[in-house]
Amino acid sequence: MSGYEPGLIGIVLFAASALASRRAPFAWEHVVGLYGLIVFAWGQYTGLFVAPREAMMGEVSRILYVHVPAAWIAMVLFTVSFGGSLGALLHGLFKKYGKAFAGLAAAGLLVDVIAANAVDAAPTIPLLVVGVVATLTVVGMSVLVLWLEWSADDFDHLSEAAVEAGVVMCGLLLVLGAIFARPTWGVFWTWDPRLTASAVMWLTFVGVMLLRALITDREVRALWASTATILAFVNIPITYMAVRWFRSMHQMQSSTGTMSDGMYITLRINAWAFLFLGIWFVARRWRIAKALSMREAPPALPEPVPVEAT
Amino acid sequence: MSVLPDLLRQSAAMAAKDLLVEWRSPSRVSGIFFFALALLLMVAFTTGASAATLQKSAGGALWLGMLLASTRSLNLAFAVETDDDALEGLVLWPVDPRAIYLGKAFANTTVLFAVAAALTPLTIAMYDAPIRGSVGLYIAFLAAGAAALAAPGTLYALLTTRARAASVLLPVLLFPLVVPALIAASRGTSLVMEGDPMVQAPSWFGLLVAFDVLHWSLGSLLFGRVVEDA
Repeated sequence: MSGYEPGLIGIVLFAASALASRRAPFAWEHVVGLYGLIVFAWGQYTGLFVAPREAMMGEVSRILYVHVPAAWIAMVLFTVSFGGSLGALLHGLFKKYGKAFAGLAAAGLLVDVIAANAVDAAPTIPLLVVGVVATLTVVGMSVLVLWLEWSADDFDHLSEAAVEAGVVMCGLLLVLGAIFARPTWGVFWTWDPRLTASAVMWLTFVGVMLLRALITDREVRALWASTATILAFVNIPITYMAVRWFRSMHQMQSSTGTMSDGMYITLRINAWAFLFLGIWFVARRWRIAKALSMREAPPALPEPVPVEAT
Repeated sequence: MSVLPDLLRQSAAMAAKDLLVEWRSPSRVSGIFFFALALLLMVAFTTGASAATLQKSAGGALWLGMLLASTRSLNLAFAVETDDDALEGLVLWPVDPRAIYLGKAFANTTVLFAVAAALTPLTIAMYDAPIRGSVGLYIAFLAAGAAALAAPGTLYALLTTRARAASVLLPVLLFPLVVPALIAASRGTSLVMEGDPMVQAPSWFGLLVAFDVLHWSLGSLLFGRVVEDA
């Protein structure tokens, strides 16, 4: 058991249910959500009772299994929102060149994996993560535009949904981090680079949500919120890499070399749980956004009466 | 590329227009100068009048004043366009929209730099914090910091013209985004003012310049799409 198995099963479920709903429309996200809840229950049980204690922190370390997945998935959700904003702005471009972009992204990932393997173990994890996330974003967008035939509005709804879920997840990350910090560092909060960057990331995306709430014109809102989201996305690599680029109290990214089996497998299980729950939240919120925009759209004018030549 | 000289020429024309408007009736510059000055006084009062504390907080107070003043400045920068629908005329003007952004952002940078430069002697006097380090580096920090506030600020000021509660929304959007620049600028100017014995200020300056490069490029890329709907 490597910890990837629940993820693979979940991805297969996600793909299968989404495809099935194209044949006979149903709320496929509930399948993924239910699976997420099951994995979450399993992951939390493992984290609380089965996983080994950390050598120096003891039982306190168990909060790791919610704090770290919340962090990862918050950043993933913000990246999804970024992808949605790119799709809303560059929809036409993806329609024309989507296959080329997807191919380039896959080739780029190959180069990234080779480069990561050529370098020493620990520093390559961020490199790999960035490569995988970037490729998935571009490929995902191409699939959505070319195969599922999403419109620019659909991408804007995705951006809106993912920003909201991401803000909640990021808020959770900050609170759980504070709870973790009190017994381990002695303080709830400190202005070190990683924590400052995380708080700034959260605030920036709250600002994006506020921008969405305060613009009433639908098309202007889509365009400007997408712009603000793209600007806000700059925070994600800064937050993720802050522990490497600056001297921080927060630990650097762990790897399988620095964590025991019991711990990283549990972490992976919980991360998958958060991911599938995140997908569930985003999908539900996407539907709400779509329903709201349908309600806002002006009623269609009746067809003009055909005039016959006399 | 042959498009670059045109872009520079158009941006220069745009910046010249804004600065001329400001020169003729300097309500914006004087308004934000006094606002920032008032803020410097408030920070001095609220952090306590101990001389040592004041000296250490001089750089931070200056940049706090600049940050809060910048939102007023940016709002006013676009007020001149939205009066009489001047912005529509600007969009219809047959130039590269990047030139509009670069020109406006440069004009905003100039205004903010002018205010910061004017505040400097007053900060030195009020906080008893003379510039013990390199004055050239201090001026460079002022310029780069003003540019860092102006670049995302110009874009966001445009975004908020159509939003309700625009005067509240601009700070909420802008402040988190410019935090890295604010930290770099205030730490850097504090270090330069204190003499910087361990030569740390250049690294902060590097961070500030990196921020500037990133946001000026992003801004010019995104501005074109945004201004069409303003």
